[in-house]
Amino acid sequence: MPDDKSNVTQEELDSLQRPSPGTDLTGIRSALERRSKRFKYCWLTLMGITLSYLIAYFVGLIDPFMPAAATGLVVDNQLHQVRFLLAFVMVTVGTTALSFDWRVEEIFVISAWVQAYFVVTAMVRQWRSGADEALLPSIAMLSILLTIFSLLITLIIEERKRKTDL
Amino acid sequence: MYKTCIAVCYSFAILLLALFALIVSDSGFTPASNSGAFLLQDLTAIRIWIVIAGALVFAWKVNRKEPRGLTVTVLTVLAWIMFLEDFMVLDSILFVAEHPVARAVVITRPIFLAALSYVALQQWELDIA
Repeated sequence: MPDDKSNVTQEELDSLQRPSPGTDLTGIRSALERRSKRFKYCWLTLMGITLSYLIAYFVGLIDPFMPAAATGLVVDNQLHQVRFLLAFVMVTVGTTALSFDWRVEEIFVISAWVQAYFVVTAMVRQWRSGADEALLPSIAMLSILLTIFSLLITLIIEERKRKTDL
Repeated sequence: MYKTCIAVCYSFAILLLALFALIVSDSGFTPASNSGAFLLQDLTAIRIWIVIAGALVFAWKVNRKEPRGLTVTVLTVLAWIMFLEDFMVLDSILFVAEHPVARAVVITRPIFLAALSYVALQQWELDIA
């Protein structure tokens, strides 16, 4: 009977024991530690904005800044709620991708495009729904959306740099 | 199957362009209210460019034999988001699909979404291969 153990090298054993990419739940902390400081701060700012937005939404602080306040249409409020939900789905998917270190760049690219769609449609809606009467709330709302978009772009650039350096 | 799905996607894009042209030119597409009319015009104007840009970028990448998994995935996610927005919010205020072209778009939309999702999944495998 052949000795199976002698056929397996230590290198092969290590390779087998090493978790495969996509199933390695490293956690957010270690995932962030492997990335640049700029990536880390952008991610934390993004999470901070998300949390603040969530609190402000439920407290009712952002109600005057929403298109529904200018148009008075229920549909604008419903549209905002749907997008609000979709944004949280994106945050969840992004966090999961980062935790597993799996296709982080691609997930952020998709999120950035979705955010761009939200920004453009929101801008058009604000402009069409009488932004002249409520200029400040419109600018405030759009700057939040644009800040999220620029943070996502920075995350993509940083992740691309990291992949190039590896 | 992959090529059939791409053909389905392009056919749907042509159908959408025809519908957009009708909405812009035909006064028969009147939403329930003036605000609804604005919303319809705004969304139509934005979405038509997404459809045109998506179809052109995909065709360009096919022509240059570049990886296009990410492009198709972005388009798939946007298509599903637009569908969700329409299905959950906008259908009731925009218009009743009485025109044959509008009805064709409504009927073929789930087929298009399934086809586009299949293309997106398949494209990643093809890009790797």
